[in-house]
Amino acid sequence: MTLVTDTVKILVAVFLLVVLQVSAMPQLMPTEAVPDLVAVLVVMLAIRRGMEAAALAGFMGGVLLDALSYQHLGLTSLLYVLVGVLIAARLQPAEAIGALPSIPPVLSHPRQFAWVIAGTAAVQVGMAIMLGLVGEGSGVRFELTQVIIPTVLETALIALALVPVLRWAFPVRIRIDVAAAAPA
Amino acid sequence: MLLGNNRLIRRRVIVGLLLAASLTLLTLSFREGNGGVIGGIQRTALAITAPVSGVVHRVTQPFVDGWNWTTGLVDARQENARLQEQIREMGAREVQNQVSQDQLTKLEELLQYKQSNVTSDYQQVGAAVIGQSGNSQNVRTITINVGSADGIELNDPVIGPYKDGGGLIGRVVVVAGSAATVRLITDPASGVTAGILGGSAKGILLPSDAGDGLLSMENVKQEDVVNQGDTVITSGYDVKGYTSLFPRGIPVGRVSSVSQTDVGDPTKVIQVTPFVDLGDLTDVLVVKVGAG
Repeated sequence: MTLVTDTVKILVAVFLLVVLQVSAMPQLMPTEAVPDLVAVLVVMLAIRRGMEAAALAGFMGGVLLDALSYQHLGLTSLLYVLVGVLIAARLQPAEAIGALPSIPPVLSHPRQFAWVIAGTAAVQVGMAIMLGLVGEGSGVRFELTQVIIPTVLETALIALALVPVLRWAFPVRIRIDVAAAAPA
Repeated sequence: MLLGNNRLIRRRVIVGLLLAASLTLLTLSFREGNGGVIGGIQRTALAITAPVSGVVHRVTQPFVDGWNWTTGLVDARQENARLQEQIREMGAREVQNQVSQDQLTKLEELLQYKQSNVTSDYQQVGAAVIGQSGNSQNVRTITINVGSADGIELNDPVIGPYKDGGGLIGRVVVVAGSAATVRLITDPASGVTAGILGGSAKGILLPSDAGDGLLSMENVKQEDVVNQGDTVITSGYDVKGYTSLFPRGIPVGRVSSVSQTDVGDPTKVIQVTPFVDLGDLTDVLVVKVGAG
């Protein structure tokens, strides 16, 4: 039941954040950057729910964003999934290699925030590289000064409000089945 | 331990499937372009999000208007004191009137274009912008609140407002029932066959490599006379294999510079600044070319 509820919550969160990112943020932001709300969700899920949840949110969010922006479908979802999986693996190494998982990593709020920023930066850099590889890049200087840095800064600004909301929506959960199966 | 192994397998399967699905979609989008399955996904995504996007747009618009108005004040520093005094005197209603006036001005520019003779043979539909992708300077697509239910078809040209009327901003690339996606002329995959108003020069308008929101008019013959300040319009006919999707005569931009090329090069490159500010689009006009 928890799994179903969590999945529904993730899908609703993805939908709402994609709509906000595409419709509201370009209008509301004082600068030309558009904050990457979906990246914030992916990183927070990687921290609080683990690899599958982050990958699912990343895939759905990326496909929606790519479809709405008429971009190469799969490009953004690939980056989100990779970033979500890598961060989850980095924070929960025992789970990544197959040992029994413990409770989700206990990260301080500043460290969670730092991971959100790092994840957003990774997505933006990855996107610039991928677009460059397919011949649709806009030059290193432009990407850096007009896209990557402003987007990361604006995402950090929005994350100050969004991260607490996501912490509330996705509280830390301890797997009782895993705890029961764990060796003494 | 069994539980742990099962969970590990499930995780690997889920993550692997999602990565494989992303790569499959990416491969399909390169192979098929935006037709077939990819086009279907794009139309579905647009149809699902358009109603909510429209609501979000309506909710945020007052805040945006207020913000734009406020930043306008900051920019006009020399008039700041006078305007602050004016705000106190005029009150909130006048502020709203000013915002409405700004929007009215943009709509009047579109109306002026609509009544001109350039595309008057075609039906034209007004639309509000309810979404965009990318940053203001490198916006690649926008979402508008009209779709197939309003008679919009693929490749219909879209016009944006500027002070002398309307200018080409892009064409419709995805159509859902009540919304459509417009690829802007500054998108790297965009190309517009164009000519100089009152001149014989013609070429292909492509986005500038610098991604600075400017356009480059390429394949212009060296002997063609082009001057800074000339008006660039859609040519309405094929150039070098590029089929024109736009009627002839839609204003696009103004020549900002003419680049010197290597000796012996039969063509020259012209820098063009679009008439319409593509980072500040709120209302546009769709020309229903298909409807005739």
